[in-house]
Amino acid sequence: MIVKGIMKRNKKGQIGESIQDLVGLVIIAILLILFFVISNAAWGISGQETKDVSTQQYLHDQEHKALEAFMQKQVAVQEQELTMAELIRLSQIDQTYKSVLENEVKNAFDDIYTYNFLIISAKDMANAKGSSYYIAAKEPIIVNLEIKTIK
Amino acid sequence: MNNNRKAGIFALGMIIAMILFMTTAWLAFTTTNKNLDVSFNLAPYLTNYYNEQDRFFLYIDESAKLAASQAFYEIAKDAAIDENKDSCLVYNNYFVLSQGCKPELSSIKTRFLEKYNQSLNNLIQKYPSEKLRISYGNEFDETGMTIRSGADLIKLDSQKKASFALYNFSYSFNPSNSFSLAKLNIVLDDFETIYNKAVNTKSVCNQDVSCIKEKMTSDRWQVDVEKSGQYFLFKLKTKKSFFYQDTTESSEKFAPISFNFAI
Repeated sequence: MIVKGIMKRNKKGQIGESIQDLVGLVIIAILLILFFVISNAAWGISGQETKDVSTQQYLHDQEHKALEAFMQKQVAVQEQELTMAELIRLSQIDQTYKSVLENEVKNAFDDIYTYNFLIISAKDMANAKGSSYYIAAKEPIIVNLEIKTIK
Repeated sequence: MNNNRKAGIFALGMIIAMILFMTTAWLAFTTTNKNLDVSFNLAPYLTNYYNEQDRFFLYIDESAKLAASQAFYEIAKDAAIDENKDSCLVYNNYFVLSQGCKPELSSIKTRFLEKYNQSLNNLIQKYPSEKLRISYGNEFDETGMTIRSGADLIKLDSQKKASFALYNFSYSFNPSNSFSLAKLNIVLDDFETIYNKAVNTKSVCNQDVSCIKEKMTSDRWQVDVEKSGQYFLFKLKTKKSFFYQDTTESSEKFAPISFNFAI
């Protein structure tokens, strides 16, 4: 149809104008495509990026929730109920409770995650990965859980 | 030439239309992107704020327990009497309790609250995140068994720079907390009650040590009594262990709290 139209206009000696229109349309189309491609590259959000952000956030939420639940869990020590946060404080006062704590950590997380559970000092906090909770003590105890994968 | 001029005007019109169209599209595109960016960024920021709040409240809860245990220990250590009272005799490191020197609930409550306040605020001042080192005011509620702690709103701010945009995020929460002494099985009436019971029992048992020991049994305290000189020494220990800082040894302990006195 376009060729037929051009041929028709050719007869009227308007081929120059038709070519000009055609070239103009092509330039507009190219500009539009370029505009969207460049804009998307500059400001657009790709699906891959969004997916990565969500996964990281999900893992971070898991770390936080798992650690919070763990800290509030009750455990029997010296014939009385303590929270896990208190057991952690006790393990800092009395080294004999470290093994009790280690067992509790294993029972809580081993089946579900590959993880790092650490008790760190305040100065190491800045480099810590994962989620942290603080336990009141003479010097605050910082507990850190980093979930690497969910089993 | 005439046709060429028309074509030129048409092309110019097209270019102007294109510029207008592209500018509008660009504005719409970037505005949408900015809104999307805010939405995407807001979720992790909000989550971080919520997490910070959870972390803070868990610390406060543990601090309240620790502060209450510490206050309880300090009260019991001085036989629950006002340590500034000069009418109290001391026998072999035991305060000799009498009508002029005995535990009184109202004074115990006042001193407990002072010590709790001091201990709680000390712990909060050690909170690892400086911006959350606030100060609490504490008071007993009408039951006398729960301590209400109030403080100003905590405001968390953060900022994010993005292309052509600067986002300011702000979140505030109320750090108020209440702590029931029943959680730790602490009953402040115990000191006055135990003293009165000791005086009555001594008289009822006609100063017989085993009789006194038998009648002094308690749900919360282990009681030992012995005679020394003209006095009966009452050595009580909580059945439950508490976390406290031993003021004489300056060390942290998890142990029963002692309440010793002589009559």
